[in-house]
Amino acid sequence: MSDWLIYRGAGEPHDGIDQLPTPPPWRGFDGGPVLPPPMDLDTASVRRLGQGRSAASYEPLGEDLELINAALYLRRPLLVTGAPGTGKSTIPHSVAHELRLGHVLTWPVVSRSTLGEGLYSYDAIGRLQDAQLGHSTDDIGRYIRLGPLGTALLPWSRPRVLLIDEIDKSDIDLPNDLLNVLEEGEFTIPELERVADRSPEAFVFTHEGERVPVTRGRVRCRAFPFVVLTSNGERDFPAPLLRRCLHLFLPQPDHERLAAVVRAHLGEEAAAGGEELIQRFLMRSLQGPLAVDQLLNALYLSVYSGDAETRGRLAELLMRPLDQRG
Amino acid sequence: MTEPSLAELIALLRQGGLRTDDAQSLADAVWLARQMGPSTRTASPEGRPAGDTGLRPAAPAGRRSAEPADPEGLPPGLRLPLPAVDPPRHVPPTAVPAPSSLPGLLTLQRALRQLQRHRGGAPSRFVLDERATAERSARTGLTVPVLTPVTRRTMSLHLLVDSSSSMVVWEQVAEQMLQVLGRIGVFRDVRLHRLHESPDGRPVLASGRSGDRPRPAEDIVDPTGRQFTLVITDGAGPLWRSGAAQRLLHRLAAQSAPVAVLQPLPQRLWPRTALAPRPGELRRLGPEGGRCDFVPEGSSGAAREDGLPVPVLPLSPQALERWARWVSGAGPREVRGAAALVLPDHQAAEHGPERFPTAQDRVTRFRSDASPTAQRLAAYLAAAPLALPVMLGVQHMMFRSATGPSPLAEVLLGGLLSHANPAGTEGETWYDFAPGVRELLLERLAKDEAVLVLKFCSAYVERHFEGDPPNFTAMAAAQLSGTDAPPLADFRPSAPGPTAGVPAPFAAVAAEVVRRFTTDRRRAVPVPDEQLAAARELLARYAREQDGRALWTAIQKLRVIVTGPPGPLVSEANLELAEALLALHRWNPDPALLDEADEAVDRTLGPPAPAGSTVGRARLVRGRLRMTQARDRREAGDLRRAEDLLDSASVELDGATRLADEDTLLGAVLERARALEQLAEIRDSALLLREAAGSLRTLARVQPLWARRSADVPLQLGRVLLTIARTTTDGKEAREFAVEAVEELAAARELLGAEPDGPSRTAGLLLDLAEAQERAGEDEEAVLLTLGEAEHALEFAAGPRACLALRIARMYRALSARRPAAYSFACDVLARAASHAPAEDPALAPLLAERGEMLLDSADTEEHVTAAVDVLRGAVRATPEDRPEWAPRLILLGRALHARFRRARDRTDLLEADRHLSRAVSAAYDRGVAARGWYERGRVQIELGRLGEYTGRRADHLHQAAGHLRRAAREAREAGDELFAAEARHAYDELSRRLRS
Repeated sequence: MSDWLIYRGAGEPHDGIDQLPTPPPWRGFDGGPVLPPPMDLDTASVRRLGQGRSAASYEPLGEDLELINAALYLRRPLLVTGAPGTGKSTIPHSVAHELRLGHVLTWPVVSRSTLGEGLYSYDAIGRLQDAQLGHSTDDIGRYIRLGPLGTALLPWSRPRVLLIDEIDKSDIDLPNDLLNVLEEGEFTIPELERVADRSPEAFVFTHEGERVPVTRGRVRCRAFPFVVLTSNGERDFPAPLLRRCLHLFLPQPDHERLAAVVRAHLGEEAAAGGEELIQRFLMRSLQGPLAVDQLLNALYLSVYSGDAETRGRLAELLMRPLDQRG
Repeated sequence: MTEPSLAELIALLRQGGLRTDDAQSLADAVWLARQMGPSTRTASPEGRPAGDTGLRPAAPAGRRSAEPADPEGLPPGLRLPLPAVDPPRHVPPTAVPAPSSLPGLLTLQRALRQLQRHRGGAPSRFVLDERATAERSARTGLTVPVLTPVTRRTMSLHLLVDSSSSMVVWEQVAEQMLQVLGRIGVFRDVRLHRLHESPDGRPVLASGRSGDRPRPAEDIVDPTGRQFTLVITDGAGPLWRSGAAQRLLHRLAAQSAPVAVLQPLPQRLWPRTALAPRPGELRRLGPEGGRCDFVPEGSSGAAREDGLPVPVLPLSPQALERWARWVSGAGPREVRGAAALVLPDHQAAEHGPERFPTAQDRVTRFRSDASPTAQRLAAYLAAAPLALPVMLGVQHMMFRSATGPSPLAEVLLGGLLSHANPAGTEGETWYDFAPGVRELLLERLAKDEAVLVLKFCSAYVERHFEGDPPNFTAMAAAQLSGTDAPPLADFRPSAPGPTAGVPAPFAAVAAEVVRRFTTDRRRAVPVPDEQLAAARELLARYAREQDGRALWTAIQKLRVIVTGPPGPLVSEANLELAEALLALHRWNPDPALLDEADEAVDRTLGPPAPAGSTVGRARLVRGRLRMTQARDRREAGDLRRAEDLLDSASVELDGATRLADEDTLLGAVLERARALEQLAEIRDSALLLREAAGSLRTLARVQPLWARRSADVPLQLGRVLLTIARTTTDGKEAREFAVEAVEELAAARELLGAEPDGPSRTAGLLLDLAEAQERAGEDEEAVLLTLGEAEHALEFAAGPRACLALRIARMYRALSARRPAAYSFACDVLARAASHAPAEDPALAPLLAERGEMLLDSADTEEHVTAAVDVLRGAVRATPEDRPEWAPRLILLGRALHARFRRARDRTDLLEADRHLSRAVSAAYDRGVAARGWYERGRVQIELGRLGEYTGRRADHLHQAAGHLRRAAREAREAGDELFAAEARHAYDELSRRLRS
């Protein structure tokens, strides 16, 4: 049964994305003109995945792997829930790295985030200033910059990877607004629609700084992006959103997972020498929630800390449960 | 063709417990399953463009059948989301008390709309106002942007719902508040958290009712002051008693944002909770709510009390409106209300000195405080098992007008109940009354009300427990209501075997209710003599009329009597009890009854050794007991244990015969003979049978000296002799035994006519008589006559008739060789029996098979053959596949279809026949059966060959046929059936000759 998996979680980049079958008829979109995909990852992914990227720090297991692949096949967003530090935000980076889907578009959500901000922003003041200064302002596309969500919904030939981080921190309205856009796979830019009869095609900036054409103010995707929504589980989402997403729940990492993470980020010797710290981390995590970052911090510092006593003290300081105060 | 399979898929998914109400999710899952299908992915050929992989050209119909049917194999897409807010675990949606008693959503909304006036501090952001800018620049000619402050909602609200067990009844309140607060449009964000207690006593938050993924409760404290917190609790949970929740409240109140507690209990119960709010005056310390001051009523204004005040609101729209107005700064600064003072180090509530109140104390206290509705509810609940759904249901049913959750909350908190954990109820919420409380409450319950409650509980049992468990609650209800108690047969579980796991309290509570209403003289000193006589009379009534109620009442009485001091009366009572329990066991095969009977017999034989005759009776009862246990073990397949039990039964019964008086001697000897018969069957020993026959003969000789002659003796003797005649190998001896059997059975027949239950047993007797006559070599007329009488007697026979009818038919058929008329008799009997037999009758399948075979053999028109086909189909369907008879019946069906083909020339019949026959040969246990199967297959293939359109196909079939026939010959030879082997060989030779030519 495993030959339907496209993303295998092995860490080695490959071209499996070409074998993704055409989407089910109700999830097919026909935006155009088709844009070639960007191919490069950047340091953001390196920070997440670790140096020797072949031993990627995130190795999903059985059911998780199936869910991620199901999300790829069905063109549906993936809602990842888990405690802080369990590797939720690493999933899109891992997928982008392995399937060569390019730079991961990240949208960190805060309580003030609105859908509009994620789609695009229009620099009205800048345009006004240019008009006052006498520069030409015919090219309205210069003042429009697509946000991460907007960029993901451009008609790329390969699906982009979009990470909507910490969506449970958002306003009460954002999940509902998001729902509609993710269903339809398209959105409009009113500022361009207004002038559509005069200039039907405009070149707007993507989130990464490239200029792409937008016809008649309407952006529609071609390959639905691989959207990952992460949540800390602090709040319940409205049922319509939940119905549209696939759910993945990440438990706290166990010993092998932690060792793999350490190995990926800090190398083999750190993993070997850090056994004791890993054990202590696991025991501490029984008392309260701990993040994997804290372990990595402690291990990193232990290289520089000299004697065992200092190491022990540092470990105490750094590996406190997250819910303790003071 | 796709429609039915899609419907089947949905049904399968539903069975697996997956939600399928979202068509799109289902479509996703089916599509994904196709992609994941078993065929491997072929390497993409060169020349394909990157994005187009092309779907594998799978035939949709065929692929559907490849879908895995078990839930584990389903694609991950089907593990699609569960509802966002998981429903409360134990509250069945239909049983929640009518919500019209709680303030409606609209009223709440109107009340809380006052909160809209709340301005949450200065605006922090400004945004470009395009219209104003455009206007101004058009008017002034200068383009200067106009910025307006963002008047977004800035406040968020966190709803903390206490999830202790008593809060289950207020689930609706939490839902309503969540909806209303979301709708009034005041808050940017409304979140619901559930407050649980962690194992070490700290408050934790979780999102669902089940408390998974807990977070520490301190997470909710928001120092920015932009958060309202509303706590919904009844103040009675463990977190309040230990003070942990009050400490949490203190931290929340120390921020500058408003905090309040919503207390759904009626106000007069507030002082009883651990969160004891006091009435007084609340004064705002700012333009809007948040920090406030509290002056309790009755205290002098000077002395400040320690602790921060937290307003406590009742569930009334007026109070909520006043609070909303006060907190949003719209009304006056002071408002009259209730508040609780919480300290940063709030201690656990003090207990009074450790008192163990008696049941009377508890009930008195409850009755003095509780509302009349709660008191009535408590009385009703005394008649029901205290599982939460049952309690809610009883409340809903007994109170016609909506009463809301408060009466139940009062009962839960009234000091009468505590948590309980009866066996088999893990994961459910059960309570129990404190000892003695139930009886006191039952005193105030009227009989007809008790009957209603019991009826509800019995309906609950039927709805929620599968199979057909013994429903004592129904029995109790019937008994109390004095309706013509249906005979015990109605309470009999329809299928033997382990009863469904109905938790014990259902039956125990029903028993207690019955006890309260039937043993009125409970308090009087029991006089065993009268009681025993009364019990005996009831038992006699049961024996006469099969009145189940009498039996049960008798058992109750006897149970009470045997708890008395040991004595001759008590010994007798124990004995009667054991016998009654044995009788009850026939209807309700609960092994606990047998154990109780065993103990009762022990007590009879125990320390004060009773009179000899009593010992005899006791041993007889024990012998019967062992036989019943042996039967249980045999049905369970444990033959060794059954054998041991039968041995021990035989020993006991032997002892009984030596010590018994006249009445019991008969019973003992008969039982012993039965035990020996069964042992003989298990051990396959003829010796035991002769021993049984011997003892019965002795009894028969002795019997005429007594007053009463019972038919049982000659009947059983005759049967034993017949069994010997059947099993013995010596022909002459068999005939002798059969002759003797005929005599005895004829005698038994005369006697049976005079007995009350004679007619129901006559059919079986006559059948045996007919068989004995045949084995004795009497002429066919006599046998036919007896069989005819047996047929008539079949009308009156008790128990499953199909078996008897089948035997009759078989005997007729055996005789039909010499008397052709018997054949049609056999057909008639079978036809009648087949139409009357119920579907669960295990003898139905052989009956149908026999009938089908007879129809087939005698069929001369197409209708007859079709009838045969239908009957045989029924027979196959009724036979489980793992029985050895399944294969021969399939072969019969194949033959019947073949026969129909010969008349009707419908090719599908042949194809179907081939299918059945191939299944039959692969399933056949017996070589001989397999041989016939192969033979029939060969013949069918020959027919197919004749039908074949092209020569190639024709030859195919004929070659196959040849193979089958050869196989048939081989199997027959190995089975030792030379005759049939020769026939098959002959057919094969003919065929191969034809093929070669």
